[in-house]
Amino acid sequence: MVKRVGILLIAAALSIALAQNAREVLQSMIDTLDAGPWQARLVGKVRVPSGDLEAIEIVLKTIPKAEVARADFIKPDALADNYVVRTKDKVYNYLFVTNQVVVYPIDRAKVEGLGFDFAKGGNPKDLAEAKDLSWTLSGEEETPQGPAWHLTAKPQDPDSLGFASAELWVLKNPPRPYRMRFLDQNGEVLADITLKAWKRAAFKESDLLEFPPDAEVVRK
Amino acid sequence: MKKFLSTLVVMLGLGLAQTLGVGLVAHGPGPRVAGTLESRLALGAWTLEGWSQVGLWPSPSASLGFGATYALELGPAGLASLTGQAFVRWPSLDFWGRADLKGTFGPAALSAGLGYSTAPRELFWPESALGQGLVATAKLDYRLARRQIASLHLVYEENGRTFTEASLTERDRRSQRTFGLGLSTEQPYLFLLGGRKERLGSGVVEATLRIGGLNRITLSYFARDLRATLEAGAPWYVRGEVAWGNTWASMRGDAGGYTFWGGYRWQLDAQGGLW
Repeated sequence: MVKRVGILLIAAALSIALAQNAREVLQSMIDTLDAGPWQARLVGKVRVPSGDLEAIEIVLKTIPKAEVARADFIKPDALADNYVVRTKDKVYNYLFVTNQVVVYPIDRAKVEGLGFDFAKGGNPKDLAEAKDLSWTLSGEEETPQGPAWHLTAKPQDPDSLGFASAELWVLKNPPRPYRMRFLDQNGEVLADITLKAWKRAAFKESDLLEFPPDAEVVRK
Repeated sequence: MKKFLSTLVVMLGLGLAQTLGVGLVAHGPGPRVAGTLESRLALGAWTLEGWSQVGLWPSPSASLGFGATYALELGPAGLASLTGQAFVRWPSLDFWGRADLKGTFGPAALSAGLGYSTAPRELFWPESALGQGLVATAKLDYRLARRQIASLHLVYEENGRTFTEASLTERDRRSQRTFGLGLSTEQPYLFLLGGRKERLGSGVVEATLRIGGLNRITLSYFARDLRATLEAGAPWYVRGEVAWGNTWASMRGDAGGYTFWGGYRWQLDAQGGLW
């Protein structure tokens, strides 16, 4: 009995230590992301409303200090050349087919547009800071970009974030996101995205807020 | 009449005051001169709009219109909206009503409209140059491949043009070139579209040409605060528009007459500017 309690105590202590490590890993990742403007190519698969997994490729550019981010869609073809810019107070959707920029106040805007909600799960920093996600450091793995920590989390309310569990791989040097995977309650993949070509950038807010001058502006 | 105008100002100017525009329009031959007032208010998924045109010379008249749009946002995949508009005109009590459905979802963009007017529509609002009676329109653009867009355009006008057009256009955002080939139910049944954009300073210059049925050439310059378009076509007409910040002016002339319209729009809320 004493031996069993001892094992449980050791297991509990280890899980607390791992949880602390998870927080440290996430904080170091956030520090890297917040240090200045950066861009990355998000490549992977996303489950679309039809139920199929569709290839997706997005160029993500962000200026953390100004809280401005821009996502240029490259794949799927149906969304290619569309892009979304999100600022502190507005969301701008550029639609290639109609050459329109649709401007929404942030409180009325949706950013998902696919079966998976990028507003809730596509931003590694938001993911790390989500209040109802409790992250656990589940191990270390070798990736094509170097050694990485592997973290897992389950939201208290799956409906609130649009997924039942999440996995995050954070590269060790520098600590930055490498891969994100989201599963539904049946264990099916909702999105599996790898961040490629991550690099620091020198763009300004006006660079991200550039739209075709001839685009029609639709304010909502 | 004074009471009616006061009501217009209160309802449109103060009641719906997120965007407010005033203008002056002259139609010819005649001529006729009228003042225009428009306003817009966004309330969540709803957008309410109001328009009025008050005839100043040679005889007093007035038209009043209201519109409501419900929009459904679909994020990067697009948006959908349903609009209803109704106009009434004094003292003739003519009316004009229309409904429009627009939607963009991924590779497809659809717009369809149905309207009926008892008088030429420009008597209600200057932007509406089409004639009276029943009008039905539908347009579908579908992105077949990354650069290819197939379009189908149907127009029925009880007292005007009725045609169906299908076209295939190659459009590339990076090379800024457009080329299209289309079939029409109007003679000569075949038309060609071509266009090219070039950067000029902080803006772009765009030239487009259509040959077949409606022949027209359009030259435009678009920059952050300036948008200007000049278009000429055969059967002959000429159209020009310029918008500089919140000020705009437009003109159109053809065998039937001319219209000049200019004015100013105020953005009265924090969401006013694009940037």
